[in-house]
Amino acid sequence: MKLLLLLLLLVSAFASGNVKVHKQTKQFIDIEVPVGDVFIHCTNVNPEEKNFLLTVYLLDGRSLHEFDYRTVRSEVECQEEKATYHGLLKESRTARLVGISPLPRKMSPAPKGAPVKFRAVSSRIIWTFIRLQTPRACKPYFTIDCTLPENYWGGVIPE
Amino acid sequence: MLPTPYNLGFSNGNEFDLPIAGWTKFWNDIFQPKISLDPNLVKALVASESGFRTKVQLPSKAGPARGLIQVTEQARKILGNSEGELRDFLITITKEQVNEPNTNIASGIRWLFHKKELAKHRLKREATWEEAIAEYKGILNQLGKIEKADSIMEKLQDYYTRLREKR
Repeated sequence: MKLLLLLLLLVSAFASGNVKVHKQTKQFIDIEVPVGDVFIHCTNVNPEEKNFLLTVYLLDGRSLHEFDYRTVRSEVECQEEKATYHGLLKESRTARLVGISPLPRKMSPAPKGAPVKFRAVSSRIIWTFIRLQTPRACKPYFTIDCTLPENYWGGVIPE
Repeated sequence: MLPTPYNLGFSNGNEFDLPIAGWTKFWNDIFQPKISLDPNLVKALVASESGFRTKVQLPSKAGPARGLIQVTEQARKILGNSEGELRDFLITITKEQVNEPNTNIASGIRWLFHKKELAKHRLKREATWEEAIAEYKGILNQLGKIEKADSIMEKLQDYYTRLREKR
């Protein structure tokens, strides 16, 4: 177990070298990592009404960033959107995530089902998801947020 | 009462304070709830739904959610249906009109009052405004049970707390 943790720490340290923070302010982050450090999940937040929340997890070597959708979706919609994001990631070596309005750091792991390296990090920051970008494609939460550069900031004040 | 003139970090954060205040007062006067809806809570809801952006749309199979307070197509139809869920104070608006900020806020708050009633039935007691918003967001019955549901409300509470602290 200790060996596994040591290995994970070494892998994380190596991975952090591949992290590129394009811009970060108090309210905004634009961060790029290898696609292997991105995990997309549909969480069932209301089993009775089958409402799901799409979340993109991103590991930057030290912290886990969580990019949450603003609202719940049906299971079908969530799975379809997840598949679309996976499609984008397949065609790329890196992924760029943009988020706004972070909640203070929380001490709880990624969900069950996430790869071990995501669950090994207990500290995470929760952002509101704006878009996922690769060099070839972009998929936003709101339709306008891949229209760049005018919607680069996702509604927050540029700093 | 106007909401706190604090933009929460959004470029349009204070632009809709007047319609938020006006429509919150209007619907409070109409429905006379025991505890009035706080315009700062409405402002926090707008921040969490759209980040104060008027022309945003979330595509969905059930029809898009539109505008500042993200009025869904289903909500728009129910708000204007005299044979539907609402007994009174119906609002008939077109798909185009719902994008207009003033109409969007008016209909969104009316919808929130309706959600408070639905939350009351679900909880079998008077619902708080935060619980009404949880119902609005489709997560009421999972609060305290599923971390992600709590996390959605935590974001709203964070906005609301910051607005109250700056008051």
